[in-house]
Amino acid sequence: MIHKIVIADDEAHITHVVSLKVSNAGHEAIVAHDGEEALELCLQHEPSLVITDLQMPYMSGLELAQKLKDNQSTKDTPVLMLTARGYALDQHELDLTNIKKVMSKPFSPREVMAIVTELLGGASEAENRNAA
Amino acid sequence: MSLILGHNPPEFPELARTLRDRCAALGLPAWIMGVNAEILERPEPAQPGAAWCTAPDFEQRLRTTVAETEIGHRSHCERAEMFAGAELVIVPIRTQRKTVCLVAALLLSETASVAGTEPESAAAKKPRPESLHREGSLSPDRLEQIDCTLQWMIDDLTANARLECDVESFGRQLSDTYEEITLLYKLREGISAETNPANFVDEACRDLLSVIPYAWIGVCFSRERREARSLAGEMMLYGDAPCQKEEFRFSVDLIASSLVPGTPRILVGEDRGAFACDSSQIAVIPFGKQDALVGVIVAGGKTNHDDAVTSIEIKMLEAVAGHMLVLIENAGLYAEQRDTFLGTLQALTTAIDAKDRYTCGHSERVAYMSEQIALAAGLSPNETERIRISGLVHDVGKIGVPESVLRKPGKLTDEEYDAIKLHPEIGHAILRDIPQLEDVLPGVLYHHERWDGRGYPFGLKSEEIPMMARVIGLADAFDAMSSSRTYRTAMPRSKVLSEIEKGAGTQFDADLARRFLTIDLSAYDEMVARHHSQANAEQGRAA
Repeated sequence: MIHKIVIADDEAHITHVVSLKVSNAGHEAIVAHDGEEALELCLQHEPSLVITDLQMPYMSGLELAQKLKDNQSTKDTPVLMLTARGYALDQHELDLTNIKKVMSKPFSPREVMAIVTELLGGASEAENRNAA
Repeated sequence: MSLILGHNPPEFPELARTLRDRCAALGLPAWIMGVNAEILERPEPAQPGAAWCTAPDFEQRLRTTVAETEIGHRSHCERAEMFAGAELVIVPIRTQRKTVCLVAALLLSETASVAGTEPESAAAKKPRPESLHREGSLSPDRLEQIDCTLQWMIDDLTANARLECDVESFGRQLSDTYEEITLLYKLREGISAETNPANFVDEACRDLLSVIPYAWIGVCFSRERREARSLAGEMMLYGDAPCQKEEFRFSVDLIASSLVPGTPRILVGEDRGAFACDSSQIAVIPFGKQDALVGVIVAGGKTNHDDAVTSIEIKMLEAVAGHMLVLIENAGLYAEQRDTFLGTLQALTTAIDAKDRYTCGHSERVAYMSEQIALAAGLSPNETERIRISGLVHDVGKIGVPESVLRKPGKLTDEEYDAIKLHPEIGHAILRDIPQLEDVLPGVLYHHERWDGRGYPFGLKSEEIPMMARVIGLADAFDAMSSSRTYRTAMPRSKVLSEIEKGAGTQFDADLARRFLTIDLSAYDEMVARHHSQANAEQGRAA
């Protein structure tokens, strides 16, 4: 199954690397450059997963996750946070959102994809092909 | 002449100016304006239309027209009639999806007149600039085409600017990543090449400081020898630290009890104490084994735009801390192993020396004097250490010589002397199977060879005798002459030294003998006194 995945980060190298990996795994990568754009794209596309940075212009990744949770159409969308500020996050705040996992930068793209597959229920295209 | 308003040039992206200049090339005068319709930059005076547009009311009309379009944060360009026959195309210039300024381009029809924007009389005096582009008439289709052209242009310019920005960010990221990888490689190299933990810490911190954006780094080691080993109680500060070493130690002590090895801490605001010098957060990296704190790395004074400690920096600091920990531990274990080994050798030689109370402490003294001679001869530290160890074990072979011979007072028979002469080969045979002692065997086997070839067991001559053996031979002879034996009492110091001088070039390597005479013997004399009192005490106990 092809999943839509919104990737939000103001750093081009992160969105490029992650969207390349996501596309290679057979999913559709939708790139946003700030929190606001990410929210707009999420409401428009209703993705299966959101991968977001914490610190972004206009709206932080945490606010984005809270808004997604508050919104009927995206209230169950899992969020994977990739951040250089992992130590600034309070577990209590995370519990109020659908942030399932926080990975601190620098991360291994391979590890990110393993988490993505896990969060999508282990149903990436590549794996389906392997299974078949 | 500059037409920029005010003293500080207003901030807008360079592509706004590019678009204005391109409009000018198409014959359309254009203004760079703020989002609130203020004029940021006018057309250059040399541009067509510039002079024509200086009528008193013109700019007010321009601003009102732009403001009335309420272009706000819309992303597409807008068109508005400024006055009859004069249309404005207003292009929003956007970065990061927000409009940061506008470019307003003026289109004039053949019939356009400045009437209404300036008094008739003033207009009559001004000639119309011939280069100014004028459309025969401004048909809706024509306006639409110009509209589209400008929109495409700005879309392309924006996309280009964004790509340029991306490439720059990629370049920066790549360069940072290279620096990080290089630091990690260097750490790995350092850990296999450097045996002195202090040197490693020094180099690693200096490298770290050049890679991560911090003004200073400090390392503070536990005072517990069991944990920090050779670096116990040490502290180092690199870069522009906000405090002195004592204050640094004090500040670390204050938080030390709350630190858990492997769990980094970030200090902010008041918590930073003596470490605070600006708004920067402080990274604290405690390292150690399980609950035992070996040391703490502290870094602060961030030098980039970001005051917050990032996870990437934490990971770099942790990598350095981890390597320090391994090296300190390895160096400690190595030192322990070496101490055990040397202790065993010491025990072995003490056992040999104990066979004969006259030779009590002989091995230790020969080891010491051999070391002094090696130093005086300028040999390398490694070679000196090997010579010292060889000196310690040089008489191990005496274990195979009967005590009756070793302890015999008076002159030895030829057979007894032959038995004594076997001890270098016996010692060699005993020690040759210990791999760690391979390097010291020549000293054991050849220490009774003489420079003139009249020694034993092989009668080697001059340079044929390994340097190690020449040094130990000299030290051995010196100690033998300086101590009492079963068959004679000790020689006075002056006689011993003159014997060595006499033996230069016959019994001894002349160069070594000459250097020997420069050695300060006070530590040797203290050693003799100590051994003497030990021997007396033992004899007392035995009696």
